[in-house]
Amino acid sequence: MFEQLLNGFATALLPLNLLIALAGCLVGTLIGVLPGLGPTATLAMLIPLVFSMPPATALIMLTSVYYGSMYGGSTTSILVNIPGESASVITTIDGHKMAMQGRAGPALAIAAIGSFIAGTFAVLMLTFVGAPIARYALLFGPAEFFALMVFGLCTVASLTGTNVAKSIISTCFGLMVATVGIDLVSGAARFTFGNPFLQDGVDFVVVAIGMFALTEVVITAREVHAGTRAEIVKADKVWVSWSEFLYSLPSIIRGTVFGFIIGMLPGAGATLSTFITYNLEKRVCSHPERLGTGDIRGVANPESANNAASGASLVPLLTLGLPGGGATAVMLGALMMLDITPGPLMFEKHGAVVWTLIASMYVGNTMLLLLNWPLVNIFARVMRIPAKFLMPTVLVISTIGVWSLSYSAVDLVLTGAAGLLGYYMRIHKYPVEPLILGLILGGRLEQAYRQALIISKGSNMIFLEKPISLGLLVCAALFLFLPMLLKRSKQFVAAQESAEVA
Amino acid sequence: MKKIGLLVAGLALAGPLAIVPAAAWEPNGQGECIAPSNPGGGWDITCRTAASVLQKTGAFKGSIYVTNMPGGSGAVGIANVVTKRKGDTNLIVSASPALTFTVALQRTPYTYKEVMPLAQVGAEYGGFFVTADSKFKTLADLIAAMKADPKSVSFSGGSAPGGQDHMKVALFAKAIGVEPTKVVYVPFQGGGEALTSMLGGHTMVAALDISEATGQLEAGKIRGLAILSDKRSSKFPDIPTATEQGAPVDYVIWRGYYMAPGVSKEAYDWWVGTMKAMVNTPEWAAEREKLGWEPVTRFGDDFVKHVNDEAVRYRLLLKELGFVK
Amino acid sequence: MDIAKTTSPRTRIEGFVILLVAGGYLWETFNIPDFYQLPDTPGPTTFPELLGIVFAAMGLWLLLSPGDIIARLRARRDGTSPAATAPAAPGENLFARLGLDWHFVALWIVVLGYLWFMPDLGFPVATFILLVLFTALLGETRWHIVLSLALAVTIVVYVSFKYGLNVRLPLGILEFLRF
Repeated sequence: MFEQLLNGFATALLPLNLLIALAGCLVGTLIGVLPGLGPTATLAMLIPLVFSMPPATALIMLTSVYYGSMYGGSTTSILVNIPGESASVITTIDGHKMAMQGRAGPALAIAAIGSFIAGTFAVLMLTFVGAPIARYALLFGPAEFFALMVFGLCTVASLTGTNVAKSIISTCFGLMVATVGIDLVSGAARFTFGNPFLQDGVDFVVVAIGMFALTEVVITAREVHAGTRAEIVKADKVWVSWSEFLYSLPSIIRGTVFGFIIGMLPGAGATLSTFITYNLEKRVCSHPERLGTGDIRGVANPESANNAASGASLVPLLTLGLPGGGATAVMLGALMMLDITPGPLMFEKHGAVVWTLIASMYVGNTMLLLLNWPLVNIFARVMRIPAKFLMPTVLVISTIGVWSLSYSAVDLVLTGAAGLLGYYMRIHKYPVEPLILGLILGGRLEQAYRQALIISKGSNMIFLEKPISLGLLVCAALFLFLPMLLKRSKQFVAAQESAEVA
Repeated sequence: MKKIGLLVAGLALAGPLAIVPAAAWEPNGQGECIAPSNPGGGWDITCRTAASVLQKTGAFKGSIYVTNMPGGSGAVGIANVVTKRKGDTNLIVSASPALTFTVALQRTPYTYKEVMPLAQVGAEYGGFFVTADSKFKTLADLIAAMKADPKSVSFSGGSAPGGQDHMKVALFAKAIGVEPTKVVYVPFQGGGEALTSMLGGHTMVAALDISEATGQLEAGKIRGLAILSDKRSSKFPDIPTATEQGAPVDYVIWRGYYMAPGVSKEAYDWWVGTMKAMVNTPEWAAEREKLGWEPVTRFGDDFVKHVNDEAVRYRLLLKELGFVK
Repeated sequence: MDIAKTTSPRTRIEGFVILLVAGGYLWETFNIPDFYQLPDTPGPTTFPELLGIVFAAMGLWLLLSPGDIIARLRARRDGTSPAATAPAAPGENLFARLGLDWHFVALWIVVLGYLWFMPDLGFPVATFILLVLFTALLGETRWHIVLSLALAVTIVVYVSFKYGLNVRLPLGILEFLRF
């Protein structure tokens, strides 16, 4: 195996391939930075290039673009408060506050470092214990998924302040939006009003651009007009300090491990993992009251989680030939076009190419970290562009992001509606994150529940009979009710108050 | 207006080229293939393969780029083409029976009559697959179990009820005399998840297309019980057909293209000729082999008739199953 | 301490709107076609109905705000009078009372107008107009800068997306330029 890996490195480190990896990371980051264009969109745009390349080079290109765009997504979260993809929603909470405090540099840097550690961990796991642990993904059937989704939804409790009613309303509305479209389990069209553009439901990008981009643009414009825009503190340093790194290292490790475990399951892995680890973080770290106020750990944790998760989603794909979520489906398509049939025999039949791919993942991770040394500096300067020039451009590019989804005017109208609603919610302190979580998990939650009931022929006992699902449901209940029991603890009260202020 | 302009352009072009009557019409500029799915999906691959072969062989002079327009199992794509791209001679759109189901279920106000079906360039067979250690050794075991108690067998597939994978199960149930609505069918988001669920033992039989099962079949992790076609697959000739095993199901998943409405006759004929030539090139044969498609083709009027008949047939079937009133 | 804030009529209006949305949502569940499903398993309407009911209940909660009433009663018992909401200063028009002004309305008209008209007007024209208006609304008054910047951004964005990333952007009323 080592020999094969070394051969892989030999190919991946060829000057041409190194150049391709560098270009891929750069292009991926630059496109991923554009609001509304996440990893999936970026990969899709670059797939035509793959045709003209030999398989190994093409795969190197794709992985480096993927890494780059994942990282680019977090950059927009930090700089302009617009999550580039659903896995970066949590990053906005602390990331953007850091940027406003003049700490855009350290925020971007810790995101890069966290991503590097998490990404490398994921590849190491893939290299050495990939196949055995990938089987764990098979243990998750509909019943287990349902329990996991319920667990994920319970994290809403820790995201929000003391106003439970507002977060329930927000979550519930997100779940309601998720029911729009053709119901997978029955094939019935729901809430589509006969419009074909609604049949696939409301895309995350539509809601995110509306609720984050439009809202941010308008709020900034209001603040500029009223002269109340907070002066962005001038950055004193662009890289993260040693003590900051040590301070956030435990968060990175926790994010990495949980991100990896959750990310290996197909579906909403990366996003779910950020919500769950952030929630855990609030429970286990010291000074939880700092989270949500521009704490560097609030960037380090979700960013490591989503990178570990996206690395982990490649484990079942490469070892068992089973696609995970979003971007791995694009990778799967690319593999098929390169005449590599994903499956358990991939290592035997296309060993050279697959090992090159794995080697290129190490290279891509490292490349991204090195690339960010200069890039962080440049991106941090974005904060210095006057809002009156930056915001209109953000608006235009966000619109293109929505438009490129399926060239539908309906999406644009929905974006506008989401913008108005998002603005109201921001002004009147309705938390947006539960809505996003509801939107992302809603479809799968319902599907998994009904799939499980079809399998069990209508008996709800299936969720209690399966050990994994039972365990997850118990955890969910603990998460929900433990805070009530702990309410008298001083630390907890402090955390709640800080969350409310935020 | 545009049509007249095109006609004039066509005449102007035809003038100097009148010596070579066969080349009366040639596309100029950039070509486009709309894939009404996400990148990596079946329609996307159909588009990208044709685009690559047409460019490689020089059959299409300019470049062809692929636009992804996912939504509503092809409903978004067809709506866009009918309303916005009338008479666009440089545009083809990939299609398959999944679109026929969208049409048959009336999920779109349009049918194959509003567009110009162009060609079927290949076909794929579907089948039933179980884990290597499944208690179902042959299709006969499955049939026996289902006849004894239809609810004792659970199927997973990558489409909603009334879609491509569910229809495999429904047609099979009908063929062996089991009430199709009594069969336990668990729908998943795509064939990959349906396969995962079967591999994990959460469902017993997966109804998939062969290409989705190829990797696991080659590794011996799963076993094909039956191919749902009158012929065996050329890639896996060991798997018997359902017909051979006493369950006559002929369900072929074609892969093809349609064009926007209002395309001139010359342009349409050029595309038909080009597609006919394309499927005979070695480049195409190589791609087809890769994807595991069978060389079953139909062109022009033949294909138009086929898809329209199919839409009627599926509609009747869906009515029978209670999906359309 | 929070009474003044929570008793504001806004909360009740929010509750009312939420109730309306929930009602409309529940009403629409009747239009979900009744496809085949296995007996004893939840159908396509079960989950939406549940959500609609929860949403309606939350709306009702806000509308009635029982929490407020309890707090008021408690405050009365304690002898402290609850702080009343400050009435809007007389003479102000409805706009101002709602916290709106021309700038706010103009901003949203520009943003929503862009989203609404972009597909038909075409990307270049709509974007140019948006950039000019929005930059002006953000307080840039030097017209030569506004116009040249809008033009430059429009062209750069259009060209890089159209030719760099193959995103089809509508030309709209500039469609004639294609030929």
